[in-house]
Amino acid sequence: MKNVSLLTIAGFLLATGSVYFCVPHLNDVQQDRHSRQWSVLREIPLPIIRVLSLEFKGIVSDLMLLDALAFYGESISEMRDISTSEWQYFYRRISRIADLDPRFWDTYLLAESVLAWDAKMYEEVNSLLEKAAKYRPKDYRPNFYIGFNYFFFLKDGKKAAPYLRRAAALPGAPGFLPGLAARVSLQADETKAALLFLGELISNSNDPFTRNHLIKRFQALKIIHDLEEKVVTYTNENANLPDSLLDLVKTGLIDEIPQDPYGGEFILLDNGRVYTTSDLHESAKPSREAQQK
Amino acid sequence: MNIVLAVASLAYLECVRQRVLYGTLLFSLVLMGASVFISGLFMREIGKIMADFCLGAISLGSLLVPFFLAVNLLAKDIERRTIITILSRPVTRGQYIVGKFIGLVLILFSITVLLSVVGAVVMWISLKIYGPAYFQSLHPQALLAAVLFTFLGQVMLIAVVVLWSCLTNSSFLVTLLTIATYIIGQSLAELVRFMGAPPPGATVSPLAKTVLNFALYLFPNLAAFDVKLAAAHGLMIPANEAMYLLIYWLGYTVSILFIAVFFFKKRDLL
Repeated sequence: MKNVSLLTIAGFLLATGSVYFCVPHLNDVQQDRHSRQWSVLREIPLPIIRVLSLEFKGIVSDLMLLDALAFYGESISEMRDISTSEWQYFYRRISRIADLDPRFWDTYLLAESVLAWDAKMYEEVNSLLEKAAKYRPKDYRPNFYIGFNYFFFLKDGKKAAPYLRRAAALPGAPGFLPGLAARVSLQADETKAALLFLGELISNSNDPFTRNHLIKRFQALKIIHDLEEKVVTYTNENANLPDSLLDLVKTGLIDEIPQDPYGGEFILLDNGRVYTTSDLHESAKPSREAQQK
Repeated sequence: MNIVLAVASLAYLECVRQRVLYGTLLFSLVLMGASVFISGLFMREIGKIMADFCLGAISLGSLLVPFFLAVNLLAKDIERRTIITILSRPVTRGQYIVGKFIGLVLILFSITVLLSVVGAVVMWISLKIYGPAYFQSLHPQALLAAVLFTFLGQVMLIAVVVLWSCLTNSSFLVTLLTIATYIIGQSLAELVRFMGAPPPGATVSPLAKTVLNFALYLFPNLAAFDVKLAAAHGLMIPANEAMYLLIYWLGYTVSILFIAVFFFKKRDLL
């Protein structure tokens, strides 16, 4: 009886031990396949997704978005550069979710935070946000984001201004919007506008990962904004632009050139604007596709 | 009427004794509980995610009635010939069918109320954890309307299960037919809309269009009763739409019960 009990315990321990051993390995082994499955999923036509979702379209769109968030989070935590084709998959996934549940704001928030800032897919993001504006007619944010994208990324203040004005007229719009719409028409103070916009994005974000990501970007932009203000002070005092940021240190306007949170180096451009070599992105490893090549 | 209510209360008690009821209820409750943690992974619309999962869990839990309880109660009664014992008493076939249907509707109502109360508690807990800022778009009336229309949709499905049970001897076949009815009912309207506006380059045969349009009258349009997605965004169902749905629901359910009783009366049970 004692032997049987021991044998049972040994068998049980072996079984649970094998589970304990397999779980992390399975996770590693299947990661690559998960990435490939993405390309299959994006090809499923929308009517089929809608039919297969039955009466659970809300849950399906939630889970699809969670999957997209996980894909992006994984790429960031691995500090892996996302390839153009992967961004395309990502965009298609986001579009599918927006088709399935066009009122779901998190979809558009993710598109703006990731596809505009990281993938530089401004036109695509704006077309998604147009859909948001249609399905969320009382929400100021879609028009605000479209306006910002035109102004900050596409450098088109004329196109930005009407969107910002439209956003300013909607309930709940922040008080700075009418002023921003006016500044945008003059193409002035881009970094300040970006700081206001990022502040708005942060206040709209609950997920700690996205929030930290945006806060880091906000901090880097704040440094750029402060440096640009010091450049203006230097120019007013000396009647010419500094040769480099070191001139600001030499004249005591700043103690030292600050560190870029993304690990880049701040450089003064000829027009008085400050640029960072990191371009506000994490220093990246090559993409999976590039690694395979 | 007393006889119908007696059959209904017996059917209700019989359902309460089924173990599958508690398993599915537990699954729905776990899904609702998990939604508190899942919703925290999202950026902004935590209230919407909570509503999606809680309303989904209510639907899933209440689907137990047409898929399992109704089949067990009716089709197996006929398959195992236990129905003969009941019909040997002063109970007409019509009273038996209507009584069983009412019993099933009562158990569906109990499950819906129980899951709704738990859903409300789970959402309240979530509200306390994440704060009211993330729940501003939700409206309790819209959520209640979604639960009510989900309930009405399931009642229609139960009526169809009653019909299938009256037409066939095999409980397995009734289960298959019920699943098929559910899938068709959830996707038919979508397919008809797709056929009405096919993507550029795609051609739809007129025959397929006619068949689908005919099927729309034959099968219950369950998708029309699914207003969960709109409710999760705090949108109320428009009054005229609600009115059409109620008339359609009443007309379809009563018609199916009439047909079921008609065939059941003609049926040779021996």
